[in-house]
Amino acid sequence: MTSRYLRLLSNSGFMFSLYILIVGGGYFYQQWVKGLPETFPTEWILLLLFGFFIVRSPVRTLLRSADLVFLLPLEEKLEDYFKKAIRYSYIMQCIPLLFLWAIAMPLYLHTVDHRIGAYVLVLIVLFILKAWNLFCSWAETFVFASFKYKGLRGVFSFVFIYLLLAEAPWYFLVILIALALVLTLFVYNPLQRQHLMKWDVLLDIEMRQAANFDRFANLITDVPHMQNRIKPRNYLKAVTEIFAYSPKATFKKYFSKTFLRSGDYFGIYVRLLVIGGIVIWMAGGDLSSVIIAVVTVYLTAMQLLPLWNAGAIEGPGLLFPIPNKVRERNFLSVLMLLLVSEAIVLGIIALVVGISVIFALLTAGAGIVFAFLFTYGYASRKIRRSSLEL
Amino acid sequence: MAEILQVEHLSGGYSNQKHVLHDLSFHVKKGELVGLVGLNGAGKSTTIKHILGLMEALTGTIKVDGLTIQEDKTAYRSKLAYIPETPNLYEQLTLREHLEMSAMAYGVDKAAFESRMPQLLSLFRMENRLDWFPGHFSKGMKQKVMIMCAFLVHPELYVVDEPFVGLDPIGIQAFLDLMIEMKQKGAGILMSTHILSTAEQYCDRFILLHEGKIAMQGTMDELRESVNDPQVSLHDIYVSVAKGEKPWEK
Repeated sequence: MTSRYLRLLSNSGFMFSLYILIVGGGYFYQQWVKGLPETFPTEWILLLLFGFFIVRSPVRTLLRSADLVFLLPLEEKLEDYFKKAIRYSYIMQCIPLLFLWAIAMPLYLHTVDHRIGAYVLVLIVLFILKAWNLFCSWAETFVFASFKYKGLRGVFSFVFIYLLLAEAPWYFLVILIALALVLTLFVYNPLQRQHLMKWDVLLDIEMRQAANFDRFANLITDVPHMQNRIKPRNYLKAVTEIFAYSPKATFKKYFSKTFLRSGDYFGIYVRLLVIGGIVIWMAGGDLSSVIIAVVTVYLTAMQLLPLWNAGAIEGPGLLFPIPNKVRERNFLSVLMLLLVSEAIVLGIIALVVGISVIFALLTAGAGIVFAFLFTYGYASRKIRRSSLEL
Repeated sequence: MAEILQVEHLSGGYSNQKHVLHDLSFHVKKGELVGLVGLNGAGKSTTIKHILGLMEALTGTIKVDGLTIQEDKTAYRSKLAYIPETPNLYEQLTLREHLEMSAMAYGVDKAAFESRMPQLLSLFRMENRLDWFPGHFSKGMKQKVMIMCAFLVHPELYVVDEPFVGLDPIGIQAFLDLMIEMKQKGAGILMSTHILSTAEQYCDRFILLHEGKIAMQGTMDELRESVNDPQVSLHDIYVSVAKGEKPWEK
């Protein structure tokens, strides 16, 4: 499956647009770097970026859930396999690190240290640190409550990278390396020897990794088996309680809760809203605000349409004595409510960033009118066609 | 007593060429618990799918309280509640929200919902899990959620598919007690199961399915009479039917 999606990715316009982005972005980036002052906080930015890629070290074992039954008796014989898995993960995770290093090179040479040798040394040390992180991350999979070990490793790695980038005196590095040895020998290595292997943890990590890839592939094609993790988002629960307790509102509650918790609908909604707001702010024009609001509402609406199918295939709601018409109307109300709220927020943003009151009102108004037309014009026909007749 | 479920000459399956069910006729009366018994693949689940209206009958009719699903889908569905063999829950809804959604959908008024919910929760020892998501439930707990949703709405007909697997003893007892209570209130229950000793003890009548046909049906006494053995257990009759023997011809 994965290879099929990879092929799709390489054949689609995705790779081409990525290439254009790199070439074009690279040019502007060079220009930008040249204009930076020596005081630019490159160390801190690189610390965050390198730190993220170094500390995040999941071991991909390629396990399947059935392996927990069929391979369990072979655990001891699988030692070599898991070593290979660690090596594989190491190489796969060093590649983005290398890219990041290469991209940051002009920035580093311009604002931190112009000697290329120093920067090559940074890369070598980062690779070693990555290996250590991956080793520790493997050891952490032997316990369920691994949070404190992750925290310890994170703090250590960040301090290490900071001292590296800040070109701290050599004895600091010696102290840190000694500390790493102590941690390895007395904290991380014993985890492996004192605890049993936690297959569930390994499987969970593997499934998250596979899901990340699926989500990525889903940007350009439909990945039908994609599994979404549920995010409870309890702080937003009150919003779904605005609907009355009545049979006619059953699916309003259902769709609003599904929107908040699954399939990342909420994330997309917030992201588009933020992007819309930023674009309105940057464009700063009266008429452009109105147009941007309509475009934002349109893009959001298209992203929210698949919400209709969520739960249409399975779930107890299939047998509920509620006519399809009512389900449809419930869905459209929720969609309308979301789009109208978005239009209003965009109008408020327009007002805040200094668009005239008339045009801020127009921005919200145009968004609302568009939301209405989309919901009851396009969306209602679209979902009727796609709804399963049961 | 009146019949809540009537199945007449039902033939059905996934295609017209290959029928899975052959001319089934049976009924469930109000206040009656009927056991649907048969081997894996005998056609129990397919029968249930036809009753729920998830599959169409190729020939024959199915009526719930005198109504076919073609006449009024919403009214038909509002009369029955279904407990599936494999729990089927929404990952994004908590236990409380599943219960609330079922109650809303079936038009249970709010006061009734609020008085029934705590009773069911304590019966199944799930009070502390109201705000949990199904992802954190074991199979038995998920099954309990399905059972609670069904008993929350007090329908006239319960359709139950193999409820006992995965349930703890408290759950099984609570479920059996609830069935008896609902029976006394006049509900009909059609229950498919493999746990024959429990079925023999609790069911009023039995339908023995074999290869998509009804091999035998009736009360325990009627079954015993037809095989001419007053001592025989449901288990023995079932095994004999399943082996393809025709015990009623002996």
